Amino acid sequence: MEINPVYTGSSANLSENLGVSEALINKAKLGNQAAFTEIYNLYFKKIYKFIYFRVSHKEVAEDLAEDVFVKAYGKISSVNQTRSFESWLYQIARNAVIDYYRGKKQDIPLDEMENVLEYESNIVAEVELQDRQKTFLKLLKELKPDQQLVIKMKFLENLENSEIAAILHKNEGAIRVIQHRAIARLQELLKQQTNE
Amino acid sequence: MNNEAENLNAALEKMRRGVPLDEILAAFPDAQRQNLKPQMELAAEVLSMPKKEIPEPSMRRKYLLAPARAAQFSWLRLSRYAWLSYSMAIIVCALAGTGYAASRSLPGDPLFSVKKTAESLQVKLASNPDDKANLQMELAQKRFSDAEKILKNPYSNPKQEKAALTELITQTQTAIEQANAAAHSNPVSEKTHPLVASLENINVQQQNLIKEAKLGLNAGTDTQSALAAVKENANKVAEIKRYISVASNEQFPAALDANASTTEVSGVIGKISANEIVINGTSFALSSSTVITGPQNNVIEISSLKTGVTANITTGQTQGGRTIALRITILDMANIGRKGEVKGTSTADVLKTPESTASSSSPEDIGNANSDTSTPETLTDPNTAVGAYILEDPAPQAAIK
Repeated sequence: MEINPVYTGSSANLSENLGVSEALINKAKLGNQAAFTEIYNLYFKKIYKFIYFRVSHKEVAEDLAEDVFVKAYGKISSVNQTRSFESWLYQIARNAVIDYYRGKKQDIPLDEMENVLEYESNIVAEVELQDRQKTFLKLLKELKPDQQLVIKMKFLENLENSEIAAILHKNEGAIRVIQHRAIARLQELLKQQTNE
Repeated sequence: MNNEAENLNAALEKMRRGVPLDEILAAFPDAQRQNLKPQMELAAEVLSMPKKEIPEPSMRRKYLLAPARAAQFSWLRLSRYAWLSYSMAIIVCALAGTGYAASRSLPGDPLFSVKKTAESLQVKLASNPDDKANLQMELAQKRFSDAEKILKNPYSNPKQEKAALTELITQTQTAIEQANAAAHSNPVSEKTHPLVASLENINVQQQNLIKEAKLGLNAGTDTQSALAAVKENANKVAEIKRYISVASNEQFPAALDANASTTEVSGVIGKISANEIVINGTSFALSSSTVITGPQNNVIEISSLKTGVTANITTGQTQGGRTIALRITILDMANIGRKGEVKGTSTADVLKTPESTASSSSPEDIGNANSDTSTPETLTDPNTAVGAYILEDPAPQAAIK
């Protein structure tokens, strides 16, 4: 079978995702439902997880994730080959989350919404944090937005660098650098706090 | 910087896979290990923070329905103007659906009035009297078809049968009135003769249909009054035919016998019926081509004639031993009293009982006192009749000398 169910690409452009993955996407673009099913199987849980972390509701996350794939199915033929397919998929998911909050009359900027951690909106979860973790949470808010996002996605959402890169429209090297800077900055902030 | 970032990342990936921190750090040279150790300890603390448990999602694969749904609900994305168009389309479809149902309705059905409204609109849109008359004729034929379905249906009820007959006869009267208007508008129109022939035909068909029909409990009353109305309609058609004949200067005698000589006789009308006129004790047969005029050559309807009026009759044709009046000229219009016109019969009068019909202004009032309304006379099929519209065979008369 020509279709490889494994998406071997990273966050890089499709042109960089050589081989079967590009062929898989191309087949899906031509209306091959089996190919799209492979894509769905590969990405659904990732997209669901991404959305779940932002809406904190299983059924809502499931519905929004399904809607993401319905939209993707309808528009896959228009995907630009030079763009990351994964990035495109996450962008649809981000828009779905934004639309969800707009529907709830909660017009929150995406960066702010994505940087709201579970512990800030869930008082029970916050109570359960240790003092050190609470400190860490406080210092995390002092990082740059992209650093906050990378730390959140990598350490709390357990996303792969490739996924973070796709979501933030960056390459994996940039994510590794942001990650390093974020850790180094947190280290400085902790040291400052300890000295105080 | 990039190397430090790459080292940290490699170490973090191992930590995420569950590799102990000491083992991770041991893999790096001392210099790098010194930098990595505090970073990895911090990372371990962050990673140890309580995390949301992610419930396992159900995978419904809604996209599999996407093509059908996209087509089905694509209109949901339309603009307000498109919505308006679609609303209009829905209304039109609903009306069309009603129109379709109405078009199949029969007299007595709830939607029949809708059908009639549409038909009347169609007639109103006709541009000239000829077209209007032909449309009314078509509608009369439709009513005949409707009545045929109902009367031949053993499950029809008397109410439907009565409605069917009322609609049939009323529409035929309307067609006759329109034909009369068309004839007066343009007597020489090519469309008028076929129209009159159609009217004659439908009268014969109606008579046959009514006689064959079994009309349930009210059969006697409805049948007889309907037949009387049909006969009246037939007489009105005959009058139109005469009018056309006069107005277009048709020479009926020439058609029958070009060499026949004409004779005139004047006197007081002693008796008048649909097929006979008696002057000075002499009987003359009337045909559909008999022309009746006033002194100014204005056309008079036969129904306007009455006994005691002075008239001049031009004869010149015999048929079956009978002398036919070719032209009747009324000499004293003052005794006519009213202008001869083709009169319609109201719907309410159509289905009267034989008794009430006999006492009303029916064709028998023309002068045929012996006419029996309980057994209406058989109409001659215009397709087989020879020119004249003769309701009964009058007694042979002596030739006019």
